[in-house]
Amino acid sequence: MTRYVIVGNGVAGMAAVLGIREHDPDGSITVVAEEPHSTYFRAGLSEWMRGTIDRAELRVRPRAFWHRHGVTTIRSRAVSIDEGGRHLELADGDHLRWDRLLLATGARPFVPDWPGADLEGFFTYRTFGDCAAIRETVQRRPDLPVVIVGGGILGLEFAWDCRGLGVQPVMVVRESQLGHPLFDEAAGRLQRQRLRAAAVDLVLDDEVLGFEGDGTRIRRLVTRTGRTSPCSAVVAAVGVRANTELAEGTGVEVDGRIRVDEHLRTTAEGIFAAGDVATVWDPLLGRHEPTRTWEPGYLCGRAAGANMAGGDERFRPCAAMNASLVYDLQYVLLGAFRESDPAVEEVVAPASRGPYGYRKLLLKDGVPVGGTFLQDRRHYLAWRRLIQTRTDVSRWRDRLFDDDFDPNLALPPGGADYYFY
Amino acid sequence: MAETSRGLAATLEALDELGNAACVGYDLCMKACPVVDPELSIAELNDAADLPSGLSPLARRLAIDCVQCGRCTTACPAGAPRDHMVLQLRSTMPDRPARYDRYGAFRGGHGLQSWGRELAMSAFTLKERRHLDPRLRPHLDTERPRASRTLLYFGCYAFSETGSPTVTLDLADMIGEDYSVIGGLRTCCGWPQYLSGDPARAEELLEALGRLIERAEPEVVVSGCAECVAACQLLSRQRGGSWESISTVEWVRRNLDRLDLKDEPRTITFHDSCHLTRKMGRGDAAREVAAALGELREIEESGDDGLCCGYYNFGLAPEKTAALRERRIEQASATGADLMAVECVTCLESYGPVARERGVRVVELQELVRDAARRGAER
Repeated sequence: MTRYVIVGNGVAGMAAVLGIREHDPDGSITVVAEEPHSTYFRAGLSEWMRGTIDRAELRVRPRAFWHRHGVTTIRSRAVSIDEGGRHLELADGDHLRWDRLLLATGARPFVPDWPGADLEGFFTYRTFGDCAAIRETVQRRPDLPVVIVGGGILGLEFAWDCRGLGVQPVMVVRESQLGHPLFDEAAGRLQRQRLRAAAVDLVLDDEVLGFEGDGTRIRRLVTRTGRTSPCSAVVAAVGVRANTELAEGTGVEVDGRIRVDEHLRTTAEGIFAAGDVATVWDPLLGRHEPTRTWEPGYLCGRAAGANMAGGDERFRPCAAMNASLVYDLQYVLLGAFRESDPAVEEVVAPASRGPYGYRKLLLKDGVPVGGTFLQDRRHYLAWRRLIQTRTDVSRWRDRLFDDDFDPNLALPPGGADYYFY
Repeated sequence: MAETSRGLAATLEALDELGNAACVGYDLCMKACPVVDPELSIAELNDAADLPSGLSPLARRLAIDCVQCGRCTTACPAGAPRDHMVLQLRSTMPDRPARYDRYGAFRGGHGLQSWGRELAMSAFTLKERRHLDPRLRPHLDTERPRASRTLLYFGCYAFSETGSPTVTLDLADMIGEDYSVIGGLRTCCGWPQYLSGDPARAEELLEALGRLIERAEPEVVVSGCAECVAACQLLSRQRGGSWESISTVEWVRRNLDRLDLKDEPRTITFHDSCHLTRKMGRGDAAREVAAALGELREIEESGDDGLCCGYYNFGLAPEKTAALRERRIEQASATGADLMAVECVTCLESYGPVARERGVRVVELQELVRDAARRGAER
């Protein structure tokens, strides 16, 4: 009986259970999880913060899932891998034997060395524990603003949460635009307009110098340009670092993240990696790329599980899609949405729906390779499919964003795929 | 090497996987759904998608109650096609309600070799013939349509008691364009079968319809049923894109200058078709036409947030769909408009009984155009 050990119970770890069970109904599966919760929706935390869903609704699968698949969960931290002996050492000194090991350890928020970041009331925004503490802290002093550091997707999401929490956000952003580097300048400008219209206090082109407190609690932001703001809490969202520690010093190749092939295999025999900790070969981009978002995290976890159990599944992250909300605006980013290749041509829609609507496609030799959609995400599934199928759309070059042009019509003939929406 | 396109069943399967993988738990799909039991959690639904054989009672209930309106998918910020996920459940669930197959068998003329079915269809045809416009009779289930630039496609609604085909034929004569006609039970577009979770049967019907349309060599295929428009659009893509598939209202909009409309002062509210407005992004044409006929008053839950008429529940959750229709009729009354216009014949059929009962006038937009054109011709 094969012994499968999965380190991490995020989406990739959970999906790996499904992948394993597709091929091996009998092997033993052990999940080592640091967080004291079953796999939960990280994006849903935002809804939970605003009180629109309760804690039980954050569960990705019902309790019965783990039992049904015969999974043993150990709440502990894995500290080292013995490759030759095929053991995993846990923080409490226990050892687990494995025949196939999956590293799905994820990533953690990056925190610069800011003075005052050790004060109470300084948070990052990733786990249920973070969000519970943020919610409690800011609601204790609704009269004080909350400082958000970072103008990326996570920072913008928390700015939207602040509205639900009834507190005023002050957003400190190093760049002169929002959404950097995922969004281009035009999309960033629209996001800025949206936040200004919602009276979010934006501090652009500025940086955190440090935080001051009244003893133990954080109470004031000081920026490099000398701006100050009182605050009940600070939430930093300035990027993540992969949790690669476990792989270091082993035969697993680590280059910022764990490098895996299309089958999610690391360079060490019997060891696989998936999710945020991994960097995966992207045939569309022709390079290794982190998976970054939930959907490829799920899909590569599932493929890794299948391959651990003897399957032959290639994970092809073609036309990666990053879709969610910036503040309250829906967005979709497709494929190589920020390509710097000079052969790539940008086509921007002359008009889009909604006051903050924006649509842009990137074409290379007439073939769509990426796209950005803000507020108006018409036909995004068809565009994604056109990127995946590398279809030449030159014939429709002047009509791509016409109201009566349906990009489905450009899909290669022969099959039935037609994507509504 | 480019990937090749897939079949309908494979497309559904791929969308189902995406619907599960992309789900990040905002729960907005559940909040947007007009029929879901609030006790059903996303976790339970995702679990059902992993394992349709182990469908929980609540997940099964949703698969059956779902009206395929697509509000869940529009609401999802992560772009998870949840309606397709539920459709896949409908397709793979054990003990599928027999009603889906009855609908598919009958409407699509499935199994014509069986004399029993043939007899049943003939009986239906005879019974429903009283609704049939005599101008349609020579074209009914024809296998050799005449070639012409415009093809009017009536599918199974050729027999509709709403009189919708008559309005379209009247308009075609007024517009003065050369057209040919196809329609009838055996000329089904397959979309009802797809929405009942039978992509294989849908694909067969589509294939047959595709061959038929090609014989007419049209540039434009016009239908007053949103699902027919969707199916013909898919067919066009499959077969090289030589024709355009548009709704009757879109066709009317293109030909407004050929009609001398004499409007009467009135207020109109408009009920969006789920397929045309939300799924295909074509809600503007109807609004433009409505505005040419009177003052347009938007109804609550309109546009991308439009409320479904419940037709594609296939009558399996009659209480829920009746409640939806009641809600819509109340919303229409609340606008104070003289009437509620629709652009899809299934919406018209859905609202007929409750609208009559409540004294609210529900009418096809194209019928208003025809009547205004008649008044124009008389002046």
